[in-house]
Amino acid sequence: MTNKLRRTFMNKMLALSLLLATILSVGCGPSGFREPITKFQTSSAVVIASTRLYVTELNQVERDHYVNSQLSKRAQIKLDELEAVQVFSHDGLKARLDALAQLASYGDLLSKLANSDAPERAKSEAKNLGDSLKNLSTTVSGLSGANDTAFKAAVGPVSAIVGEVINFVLQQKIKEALNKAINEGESPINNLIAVIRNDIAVAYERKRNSLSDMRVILVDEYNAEMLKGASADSEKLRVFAERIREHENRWEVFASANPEEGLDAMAKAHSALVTYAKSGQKATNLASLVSAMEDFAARAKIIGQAVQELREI
Amino acid sequence: MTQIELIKLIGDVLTKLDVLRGSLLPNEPNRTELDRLRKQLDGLQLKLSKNIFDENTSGFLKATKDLEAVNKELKKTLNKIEKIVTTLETLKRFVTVVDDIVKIALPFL
Repeated sequence: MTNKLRRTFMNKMLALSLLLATILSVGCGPSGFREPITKFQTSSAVVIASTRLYVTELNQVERDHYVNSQLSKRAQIKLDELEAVQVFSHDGLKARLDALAQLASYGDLLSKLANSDAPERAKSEAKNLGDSLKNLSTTVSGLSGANDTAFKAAVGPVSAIVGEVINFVLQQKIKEALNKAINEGESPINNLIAVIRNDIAVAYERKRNSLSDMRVILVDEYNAEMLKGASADSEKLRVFAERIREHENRWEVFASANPEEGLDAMAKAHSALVTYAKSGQKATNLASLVSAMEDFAARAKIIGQAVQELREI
Repeated sequence: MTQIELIKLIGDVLTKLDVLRGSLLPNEPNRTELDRLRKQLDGLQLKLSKNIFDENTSGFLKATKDLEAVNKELKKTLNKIEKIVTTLETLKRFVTVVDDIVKIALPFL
């Protein structure tokens, strides 16, 4: 056997061992969900953190875009125009951030339920989540923006189902809580993810627009100095060129930092989890679940790294 | 075409338009017109981003079909600096159609 063949054989044996280990690790009851839920929760946390960043930055992106644009034209900056460019109201922004935080807490709770043999540990978390849900409902009921309608409609059903899950947890009925969450949470949770995904799509496009315009502003800055010919300030030219270089790096990374794709993968992974749960956690359905979780984890990793890189540039 | 698809389509045009703008010096005559159209398109994209509307009205469906046709034309020249005169004409039509869409989708604005 050549070295290459031996390596291939060993890789196949390793993959088979890992698959067998995964199959053996899943069984009936909460422990059967352990690995997929843990992976779902960790990947969700990454996607949610990236999404949070976009939602938080959305209004700031619009303000920066306006200020940069006025600056480049040496035009007047007006506060009324500055306010008019903001996409979400203060409350609308807060509600979306709260909903994202609660999706993360919900994922965390599911993970604890699947991993914990001590129901007491999950109780305090469930209680906190219940309190946060009440606060979210209050914030959401006060939203009146034209772009808040879909979001408001999506939050209600999620609050209802998560409320029921919380009640089971408080009664220490862990298996029932987990089954309820997985079997009945699919449609409302995925719908909320889809609504937030649309908001993120808008946020991503507006940010793309702003970064694209900034490319021109920076090139103009350099060219305006360059046009001075012999009297051009070489130090200024160097600084302007450096700004272009940095911004072009940012522009390149930005293309792979779209949380929209992560939210799509999150909804698919959530559905795969539900399909597996509904099938009675049969090992035959495990392969598609593992594949969905791997895909989700891979996408979450790429997005997480890209968003982190964007923050560092 | 959905609202999000429309916003993305405008975004695609804006980014390509910026490459064209960034390839011309700020004092070139065509550049001023490109800047004006960019500002207008940016404002329209913002309006579409801040509001929810019905994507299924016949008026909206027809107007977005028209936009797809103009966009197809625009794509042929938008990245060719030597065809800037044609691009400017097509771009003006593109902005007019987007403006019509906004008026149809958001008549209260």
